[in-house]
Amino acid sequence: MRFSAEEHARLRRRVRLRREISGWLFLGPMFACFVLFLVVPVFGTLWWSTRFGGLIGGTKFVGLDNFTRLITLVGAPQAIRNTLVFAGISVPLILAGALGIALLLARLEKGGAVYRFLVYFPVLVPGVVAALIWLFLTNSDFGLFNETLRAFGQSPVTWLSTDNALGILIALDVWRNVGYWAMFFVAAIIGLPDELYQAAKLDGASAFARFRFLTLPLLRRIIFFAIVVSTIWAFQVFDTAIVLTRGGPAGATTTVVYRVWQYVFGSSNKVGYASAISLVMIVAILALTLVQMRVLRSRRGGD
Amino acid sequence: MNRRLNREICTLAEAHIAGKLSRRSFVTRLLGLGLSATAVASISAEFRPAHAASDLKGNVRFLVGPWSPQEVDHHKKISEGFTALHPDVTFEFRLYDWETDDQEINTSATAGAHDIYMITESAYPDYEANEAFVDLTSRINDPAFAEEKAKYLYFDRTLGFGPRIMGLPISFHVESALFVNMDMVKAAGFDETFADSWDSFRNCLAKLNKPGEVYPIALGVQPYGEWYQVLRAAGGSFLTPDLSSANVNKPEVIDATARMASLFTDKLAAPLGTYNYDDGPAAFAGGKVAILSIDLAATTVVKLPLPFNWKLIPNPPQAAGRMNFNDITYYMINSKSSNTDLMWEVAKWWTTGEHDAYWADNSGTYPARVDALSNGYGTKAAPQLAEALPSYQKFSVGLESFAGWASVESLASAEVQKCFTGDVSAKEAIANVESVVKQETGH
Amino acid sequence: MAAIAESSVVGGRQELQRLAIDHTRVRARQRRLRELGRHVALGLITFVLVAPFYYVLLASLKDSHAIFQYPPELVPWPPFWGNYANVLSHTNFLRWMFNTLFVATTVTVLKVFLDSMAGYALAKIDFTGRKAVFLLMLILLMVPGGALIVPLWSLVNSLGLINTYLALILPPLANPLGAILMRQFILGLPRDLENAARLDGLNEFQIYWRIVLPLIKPGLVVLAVILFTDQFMSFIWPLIATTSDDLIVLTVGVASLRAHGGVDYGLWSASAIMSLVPIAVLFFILQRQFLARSLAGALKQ
Repeated sequence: MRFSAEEHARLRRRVRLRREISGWLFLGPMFACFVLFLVVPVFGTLWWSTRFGGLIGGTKFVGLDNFTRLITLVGAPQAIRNTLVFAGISVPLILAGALGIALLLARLEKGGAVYRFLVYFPVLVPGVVAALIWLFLTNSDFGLFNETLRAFGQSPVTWLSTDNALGILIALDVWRNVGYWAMFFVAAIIGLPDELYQAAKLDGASAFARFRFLTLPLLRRIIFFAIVVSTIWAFQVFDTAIVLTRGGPAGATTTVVYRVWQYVFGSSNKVGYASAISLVMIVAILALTLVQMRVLRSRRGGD
Repeated sequence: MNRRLNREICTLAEAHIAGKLSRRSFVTRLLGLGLSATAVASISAEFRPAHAASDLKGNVRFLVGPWSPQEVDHHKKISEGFTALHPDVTFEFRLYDWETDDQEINTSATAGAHDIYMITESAYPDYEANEAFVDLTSRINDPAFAEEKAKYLYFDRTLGFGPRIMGLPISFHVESALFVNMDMVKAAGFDETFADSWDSFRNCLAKLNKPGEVYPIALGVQPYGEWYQVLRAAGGSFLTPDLSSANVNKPEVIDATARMASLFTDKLAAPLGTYNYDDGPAAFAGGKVAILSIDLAATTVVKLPLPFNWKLIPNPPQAAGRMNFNDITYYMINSKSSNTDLMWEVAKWWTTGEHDAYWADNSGTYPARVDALSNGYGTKAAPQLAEALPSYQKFSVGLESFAGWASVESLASAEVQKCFTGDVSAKEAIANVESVVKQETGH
Repeated sequence: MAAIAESSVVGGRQELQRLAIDHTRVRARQRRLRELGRHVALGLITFVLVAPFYYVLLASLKDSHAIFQYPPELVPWPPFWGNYANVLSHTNFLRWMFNTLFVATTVTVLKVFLDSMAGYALAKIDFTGRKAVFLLMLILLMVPGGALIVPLWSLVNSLGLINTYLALILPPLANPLGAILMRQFILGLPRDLENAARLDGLNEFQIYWRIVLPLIKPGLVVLAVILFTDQFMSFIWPLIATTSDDLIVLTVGVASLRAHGGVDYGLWSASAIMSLVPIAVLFFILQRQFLARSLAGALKQ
């Protein structure tokens, strides 16, 4: 077919127009929801964080006041500390446990399916049901933990006391999440090249040496990814805290998100604080995400 | 007018005012009595209810607190009588959770999702100051309501928050009553006077202690107001009566708080978190705890009668005397409700002597009506409740009337709890409470 | 001497053979021991992870008062089914279950299409803004839902959608994870396939529907599993977005059992077990796809 230059140009434009339109038609519905229910609220948080007042009584503009007062708010240091301690302890425990399970599972010759099912199952339990289950474990009178202690002749412990409650919350989180990351690491380990291991075995490397000098470095990027993502999740602990201990006792399990919750709809009219906290959280998480993207991309050439 | 005619007119008028007779029927019947049109006009004007509520119809949605396990059933029972009078009115009941009541009420009110709300006194100041709920002042002060109004309690206390009355009082609730297992107390060698002085109280607790089996006392199970009553008994308050400055940091308050903390550090009180609002009553009923500090509604969640002798007593003695914190609950009407007249009739119905007594009796609290006893209060509830009422009223102390009292209370309570574990001294805890008061109230 | 020499050679070979066999046997035994060790370790770990479920199951089969007994019965006999009956009769459990399943299924079905279409556009159609959109999605991927409840609630309220099924269905559609995942899957498809289709005159939608979708079906199942599970477990948003009893979802309903007056341990335990049944069944049937949920994270890299 022979076209003039003009007709070529027109044809190309038409094709391009069709492509643009079809691109946006396909993307459109999902993107519309994305903008309306995700992007807009992010800006909404920005807007609400500069205001003081409540949902009912209306709000007034206060600029950056809410932010400057954030740290000095009563209960803020404790909430921040609780969240950091929670993340700082649960993440290593989860990932170390997951790695251990993954190493065992990856090399297992048969029977893996049963273990996989059982290890992963706690991941599918909604937070509130998990907390309910752990209430049965930690109950002072008939909980599993105290019954076990009693069977060994020990005296019962108050598991949800001001000292222990956060620890229990962490244990709950580890129980729920270790399976998820275990499967993650299993997939990664299976993907590692076998020849390297054969070579190392021939060289007489012990299992531990093989792990330390071969597995770990190879999995470095995956582990880094896991650390970032599970830290981000750890910052958002809420469901379990609200059902297990209601943020107590004495604020021992009040986390940052729990604080947001308390401020938001309560009659103390502090929607601005809630939004300011949320904004800080969003920024912190975004920063973590960007760092992670940068580190993981540096070796590959773009994606 | 002769007596028979007078009586017939009065019967018709009563039926009309009670809503059983529509205005049209009322006028028609009056005319049927042979009166002249002018006479009928003047009579019907005289007997016209100030806010006429004839031919009511609509759907009434309640959002109320979870006082007892069968709470919805109790409300449904009350609604039956109303539906019998007004068959076109339907009801829906939803319970909120005590822990998230603020959140649920505010989101619901903003979205216009319910019509009648059960609001506790702690939230009253906020709603007095905004327009979320209907201002009922004119309806309450209406002369037609005066006779009924006199039978309600606590309108004066309500006016302490501001000139507008935003709800009808339903109950007077003791938040931290002491449930005492008297069998155990007697076995320890004490009698009803064991709590009359701090030393005798402590000695009794020491005797009740059976580590691993029985805790002498469980505190902090229902912390709302628990320390506040100690503060007030010691002569302090969050703000001075003129609301000008903090009134917390006094030596008596520190001493009283230290005494309360000593119960924990001396292992007489179960560690914080051992029992909570859900399992505290069961532990008391099961004999794991000799004295339980919890609100009155606990009487609805244990299987009565309990297998031992028990009674309710006011808060333990402090230096200056005893105080029991109590608060009032109201029914309020959503401003976004389409038919406020209907809702007003419903609210009045729910708070008549008969219905309030029924509800309070079944929900484990005290009704806010003077005529409750004559209307059957006390038949369902544990007899210990009625028995304890005089002393609770004697030692009664309520909220302070400034907005934000509730958030000060919960923050202060959290600070005080830190000295129960020995993390901070009572002196530090009180200093922290003072900064809480300053931060939240700006004084 | 020669015989000895010969026998030593023969013996040598036999010796070597025997050594080799012994070595293999030793190696085989070592392998079996290691395998046994793994089983023991995994067995212990799984026992610890699963014990809580068993304990709650036990509690649900006992009368509420019997729960307080010590020493506890390891296997309650005869089992007490009253708690399960109570859950069905005294609570709105079935309604909660229906709501959750309805919302989860609707979101899953809708989003599988929305996300695969979006993923297709991002992967295979070169339109302006494609990179920017993708970047935006990646960046906002990690924004926690809990941080947005205020403006989201306000938005849904001003749309008049509070306390409707739409309030539960629409906001989850915004999650960009699905679109990103689909993009990765579709990127993996060979270019020639669609080029050939384009030359054949098929339009974009036909390419998407007839060629791409069938090819990424396993990925679609994984996506569906992720979406369904996320909806099944969501709590904060349904808690504040619904105000009337008939819209309560399973998580909110089970949490409310704790809230409302009176502690019935039998009821709690029975409802906890019952709420896990649908997801357990689904997991059992679609095990591989569920486990691939973790893989999806790997793909995100």
